[in-house]
Amino acid sequence: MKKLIATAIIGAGVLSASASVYAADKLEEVKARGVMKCGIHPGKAGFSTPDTKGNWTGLDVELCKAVAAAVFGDASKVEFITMNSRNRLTALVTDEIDMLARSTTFTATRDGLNGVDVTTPWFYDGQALMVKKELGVNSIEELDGATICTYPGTTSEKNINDYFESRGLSYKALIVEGSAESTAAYLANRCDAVTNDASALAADRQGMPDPSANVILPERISKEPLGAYVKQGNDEWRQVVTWTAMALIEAEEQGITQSNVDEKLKSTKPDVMRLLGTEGSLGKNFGLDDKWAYNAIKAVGNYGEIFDRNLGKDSALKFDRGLNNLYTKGGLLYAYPFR
Amino acid sequence: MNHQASIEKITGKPIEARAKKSTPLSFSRVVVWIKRNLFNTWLDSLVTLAIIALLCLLLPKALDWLFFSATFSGTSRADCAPGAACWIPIRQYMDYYIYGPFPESEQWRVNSAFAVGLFVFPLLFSQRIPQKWIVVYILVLPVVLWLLLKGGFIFEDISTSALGGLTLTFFLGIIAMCLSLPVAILLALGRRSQLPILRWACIGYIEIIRSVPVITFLFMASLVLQLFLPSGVSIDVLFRVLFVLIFVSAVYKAEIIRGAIQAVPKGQIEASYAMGCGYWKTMAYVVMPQALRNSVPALITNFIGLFKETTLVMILGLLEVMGAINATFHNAEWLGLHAEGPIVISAFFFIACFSIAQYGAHLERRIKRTKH
Repeated sequence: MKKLIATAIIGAGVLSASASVYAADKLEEVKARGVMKCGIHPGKAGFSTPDTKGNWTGLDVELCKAVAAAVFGDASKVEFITMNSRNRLTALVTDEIDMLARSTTFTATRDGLNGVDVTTPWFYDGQALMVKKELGVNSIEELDGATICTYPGTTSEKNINDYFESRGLSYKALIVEGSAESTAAYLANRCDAVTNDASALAADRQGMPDPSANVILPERISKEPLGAYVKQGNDEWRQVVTWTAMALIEAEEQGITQSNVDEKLKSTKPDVMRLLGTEGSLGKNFGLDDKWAYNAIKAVGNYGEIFDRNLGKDSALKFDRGLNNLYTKGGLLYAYPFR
Repeated sequence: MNHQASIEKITGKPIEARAKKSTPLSFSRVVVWIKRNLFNTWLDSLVTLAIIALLCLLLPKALDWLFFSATFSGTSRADCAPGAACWIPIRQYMDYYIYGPFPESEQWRVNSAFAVGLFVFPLLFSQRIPQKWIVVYILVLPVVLWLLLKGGFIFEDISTSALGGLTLTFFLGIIAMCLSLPVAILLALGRRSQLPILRWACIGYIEIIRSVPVITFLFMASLVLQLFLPSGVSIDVLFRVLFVLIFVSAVYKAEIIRGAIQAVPKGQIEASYAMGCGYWKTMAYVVMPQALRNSVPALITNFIGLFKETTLVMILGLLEVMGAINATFHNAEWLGLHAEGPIVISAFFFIACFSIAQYGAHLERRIKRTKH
């Protein structure tokens, strides 16, 4: 029954999505409205949480702000709408939101079936394992024979099994209902390691009595590229969201920060000049102002700054950059050339 | 006298003795009371002792965790004492819990809305104000709340995403309550109508809506409804939620009111017709005043249920007070505080619902007084 309803909803979504191909592009619609509507998570540490004044902060939130800055030259022209995991894609299809930055994994099914399009990865998450520092373990390989806390019926259990089996390692699974319970079991020393998506483990770790006594092992045993989705058939709008994210990654590579971006306007380096719009007309090609990337960087800083502020060394979570580092530094962040 | 006799029959005590409250409390009376009520038989004594032991075991620990060792002032997580509650985030976020992301410069509108909704209510029920005004108030209140909190007319428009926290809970609860009442009255009358088509339509509506969980309708409003609308047309999520809350809770109220209508003696209705009053006059002046009065306890219960049901709008991405409190505890600074949020939510709903219940009890007492 559930499947039937889901199919009906998705089917209707695809229908209405294909119907709107002929409508004006989302970019024009957003510009005319004067405010961009961004779907976000209603509470995920480091990605989107409200501050004491009710302003949203986090890695996903800053991507929304950057897009608003690129389109309007003003990062405040964004309206945040909280979404749950069930209505998030439908909300895009029905134009309730213009973009979805809600830690949603890019998958073939979502991109292919649901009337939505992926943009570019904004955070490389993945299932990881956390152990106590005192164990002295540095990689999963050293966990042969360990007891691992996991929860039932999810892919996480299967991922662990596949990973250990393919490497000829053995483990004992302690299956605990729910993520909070599995953290509790880990804290009570009922297992040697606990597994979850790395971003969730970082949040769990921060909630422990002594966060620094636990380490998240560097291996990722599943692929969870998270990023912004847009409605299918709005190619110009998809380009704007995609290239705004890339501009922030490129800015880090070029050493442009929120504080030095004004100085960099005087730079004579061709890559920097094209990115900041002092040479060429990359912005115009996207239907934006040539200062679009400048505005985005000025508003939120480059990717590294955003990461450090919300998840990394300047935040309480102290999340390692790992895969979320520039390709030149051993990560996966690789912006296409700005030329 | 008849009434008093029946009470005596039920309680087994003369009514004068029950009313006597001002007898001075003496030690011997207390001992007698304790002996009679707590240690009457050996089983009673055992249960009493067990409960006392349990309380002695749990209460000091609970109070210690909640208050004595808890942290009330400070600025960051580091200030929290380990092993006890930490109320710092609650204090820091209190404004957010009340106003949500409502624009700061416009917060007077929220305050006025709270004032109109909460303080005028009891005033209106003082005996000096005619019942006609109560009806007017119930119908005008939703409009005033909408203007104040959502905007329109002379007030600046507030985006739906700026409504949250207590403001949103209050907005949804009161508006749904006020608007579902007239719908419920019409449904109740429709179900008892002599016109078969109207009657069957009302029965069908009531039976179908009553048999499906509210959450299903909220999901439909959130996922399905939008897909049937032409591209570019969308209904504000607030409208959709209110629509569901009003038309679902009206069904339960309709059944409460129908029961109360049926309890009005048939002779009165016949007498009213005999005097030449038409259907609407009979309903408005003879049946409804009595029926609504009799249904106050059940309607209050229904309102308490509806008020708590507003938390379900979280599934549509609206952050009412419960969603707002949950969201703040995901803030990296306050991760790991699992109990404080639910405790505050429970405390808030207890205070709100208990107050409503007490107010309902007060209404009942007053109605009883005016009856004699």
